[in-house]
Amino acid sequence: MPLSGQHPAGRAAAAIHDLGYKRYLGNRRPQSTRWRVLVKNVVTTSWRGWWRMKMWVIGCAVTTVAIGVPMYISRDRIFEELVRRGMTVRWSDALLPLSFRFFPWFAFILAAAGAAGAVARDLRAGAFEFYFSRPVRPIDYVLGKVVGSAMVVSTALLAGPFLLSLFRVGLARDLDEVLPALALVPRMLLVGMLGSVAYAVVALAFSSMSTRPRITTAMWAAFYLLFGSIAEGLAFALRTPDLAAISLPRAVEGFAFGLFQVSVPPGFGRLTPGIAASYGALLAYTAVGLIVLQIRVKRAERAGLGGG
Amino acid sequence: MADVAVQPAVEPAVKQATQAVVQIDGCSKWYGHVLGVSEVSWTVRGGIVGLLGPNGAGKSTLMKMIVGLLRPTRGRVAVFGQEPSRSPDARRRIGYCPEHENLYDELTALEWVTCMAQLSGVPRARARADAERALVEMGLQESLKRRVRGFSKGMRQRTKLAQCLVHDPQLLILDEPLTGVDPIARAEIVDRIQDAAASGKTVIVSSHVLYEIEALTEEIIVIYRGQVLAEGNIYEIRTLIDKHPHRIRIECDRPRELGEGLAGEDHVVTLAFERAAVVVETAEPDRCYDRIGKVVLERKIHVRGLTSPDNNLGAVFDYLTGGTARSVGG
Amino acid sequence: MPPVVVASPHAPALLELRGVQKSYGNVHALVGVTAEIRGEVIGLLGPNGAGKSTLLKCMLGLTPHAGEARVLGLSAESESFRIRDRVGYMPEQDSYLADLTAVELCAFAAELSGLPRSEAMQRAHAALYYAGLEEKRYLKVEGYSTGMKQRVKLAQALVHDPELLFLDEPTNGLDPRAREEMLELILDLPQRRGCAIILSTHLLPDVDRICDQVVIMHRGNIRFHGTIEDLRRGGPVADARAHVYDVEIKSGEDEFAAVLARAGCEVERKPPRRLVVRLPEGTDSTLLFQQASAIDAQIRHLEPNQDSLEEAFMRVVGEA
Repeated sequence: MPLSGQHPAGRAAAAIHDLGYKRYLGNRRPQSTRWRVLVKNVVTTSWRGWWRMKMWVIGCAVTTVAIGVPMYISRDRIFEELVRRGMTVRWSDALLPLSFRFFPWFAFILAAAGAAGAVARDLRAGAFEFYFSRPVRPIDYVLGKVVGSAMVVSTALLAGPFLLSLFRVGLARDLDEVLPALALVPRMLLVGMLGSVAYAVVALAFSSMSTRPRITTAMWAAFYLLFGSIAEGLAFALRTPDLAAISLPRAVEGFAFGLFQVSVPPGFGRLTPGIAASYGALLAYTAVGLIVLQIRVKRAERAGLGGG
Repeated sequence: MADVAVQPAVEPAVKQATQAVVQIDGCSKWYGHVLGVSEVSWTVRGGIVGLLGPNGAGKSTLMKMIVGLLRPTRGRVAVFGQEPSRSPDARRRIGYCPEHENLYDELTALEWVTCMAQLSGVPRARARADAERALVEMGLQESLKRRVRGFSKGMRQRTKLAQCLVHDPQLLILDEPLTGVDPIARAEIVDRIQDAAASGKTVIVSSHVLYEIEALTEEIIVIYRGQVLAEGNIYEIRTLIDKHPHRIRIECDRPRELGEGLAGEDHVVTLAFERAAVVVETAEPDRCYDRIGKVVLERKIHVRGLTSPDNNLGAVFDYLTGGTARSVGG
Repeated sequence: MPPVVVASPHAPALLELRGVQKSYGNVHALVGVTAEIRGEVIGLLGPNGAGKSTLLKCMLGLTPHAGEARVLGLSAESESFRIRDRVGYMPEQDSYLADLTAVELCAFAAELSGLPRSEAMQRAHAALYYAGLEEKRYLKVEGYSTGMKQRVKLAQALVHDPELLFLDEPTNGLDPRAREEMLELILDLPQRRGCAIILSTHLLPDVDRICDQVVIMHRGNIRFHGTIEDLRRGGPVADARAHVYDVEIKSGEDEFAAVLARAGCEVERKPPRRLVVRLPEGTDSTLLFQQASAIDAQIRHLEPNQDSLEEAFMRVVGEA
């Protein structure tokens, strides 16, 4: 309440307003929207600095252009190494699923720079006390981190491929070409989304394994590179391409190839897992990762507060 | 008035008359552009000394120089007559309990203290036994074999102190030894420190919690902006701060009458009245106390309490470092 | 602005505990705690391992427990989220998110507590002003000094307008001036808007300075709950203390002690300067002045003898 007074001689009243602490009498948003706040936080902090996100987004943009150029120039050339239902494919079509040989690299780096250390960093900085002394449920935290990290990763796995597929539609010369080209767009989106979520979830799950972000990031890298290579080597040695789906980038690639019904004739070199194996692997990784995350976060929530 | 069982330093058994324990002459330390300390001169002969100062004033720098972790940019630091950064012999006689908490989490308390004992020159054969004794003295007999990782803050603190004492050093440097320690353990640690001083050791203790220093010693040194602002006995320093007249609070049944008896005195600067007390500010406390005694008897005033709310370390520190001149009783 | 006073008898108690019990395996963190806690600024004391942090976890609904716990009238078992809406927590350790500035951190905190974005931003600035960080609020929290970090922790606990604040060692690491300022800030809160404060600390003088009530926990239970005066007075020799005074004189304690003894007092010396004097029946402190005057001694300190807070604490905990 402001102080106010009236001078007895009849001068106009004055007032001094109390600028101090005020009560909050507004409403509060429902519980179910809390995770969105976390998503915003994940994305904005990822965007800070050059090396967490910006560089790699630039890299993806460059890659997108670098793929788009041959798509345009050689659009009518036949891409010998890929076939679709027995027929060979033109470059403009082939480069779409093939782009998933390049984008996952950026996805890996984006996940390594952010998601792979996220929970560990929070654990170490005492952020859990910050979160869970507020009305935030473990599921809110998990959902927020997953969606936020997936959004970051999707700038690699989703944005570029999506633009390329739109470009492909643009390259169509007549209506007969446009319609099948349009059908490719949702497929790119599907691969991009599933891939982004899988990458985000797995990286986050690793980040919840320790309180040291460097260790968890190393775990993510080891899993992605070493473990992946071992799986691919095994698949090659045992001549079962499906086994390569254990390696994340191969799973994404296999899913893309499968969706585009494009296959690699023998002799191309690398093994690509079948669509069922790829799809299954991606789903399995996502499910297991989410479970691990939820367990670790719930446990940290309990252990979080207080010291003595 | 700080409410603590007031037991300031017991006089140490032997004071070094010849050689100062710590001798610092014109010492300055710069880290690039950042000032650590500037032209500090200080002599410590024995007993317990409190080292005070705001954050960033240079206390840690000074302590690290005494311990030998830093070398002064200019000037000289001597501990037991030798330069601590160059003389392992001097360092062996120093026990340092730093503020930070980085212990080796994987070791048990006993292992860690044993290790530190050996590093400080205790012969291998005795190290383990000495370590055990030091830990027991700190009240950790139940946790000897437990890993440090599971320790609470107070237990870590006591482990650090055990490590500091295990090799029986002549000079103890303690940086915030009582943070996170609960009141029971605090009393025990204060006892240990006083025992150490009584047996002839010199202790330099630094803390932000002024009443902890008051419980240990009356002798302090105040570092402010990298320089020595004040040193000596707390109450002597107080008398030197004449910008803030001595404040005396008398709780009695007739404060106004007592005030009347004091109002005529020329050393009285202000008189303030509370419901059941009168607070007098005087430039000459000695004469004022005399006068109070006289007035009480003359007018038969019943006194319930006679205290000097700003004759304590908190007030002294406040006045020295430029805080507002408000009463800091308690 | 007239303060909202929480002490209305019809308002729900801050904390209502009935038989709250929690064990981790063999460790009994809380052994059937029953209490009703009201007040403005309440000090929560106790040795390490007494159960304070477990109690806090139960209050916030973070851990299941036996028995019933209510915070501000809400059940900790079933309504813990509504509790967290109305409780603010200032943790002991560093608790901040990397890369955020103070304003961003507080706004994030407010949004997590359900405030809409614009409100959150506004209140973040207000909370930081209140905590005295107005000049530095656009800087990253990582670069802050200890004192500033403590203030940010306080701000983020306040930003969503809680009715109850739980402060864990708020003066940790602060130099004496900053400690004093923090205590003043805390003391100001109940007066400004009537939010109650539970202060968990090991520093008894802090408690003495700002708390009106004290709760002492030990070995999983509440050993004492009442005002500070009650705590001090609760000693076994309380009544017999009426004629006991702490006295300090300028010099010549030995002579003074002898003179007092001859006048019928019991004198105990507490080195280096203090005398604890029990006056004979029918006399009062005037006797001390008379005796002092007789030998030209100067009384410099005189106070009724009572437990220091530390002694009282030891007594309570020692009785366990």
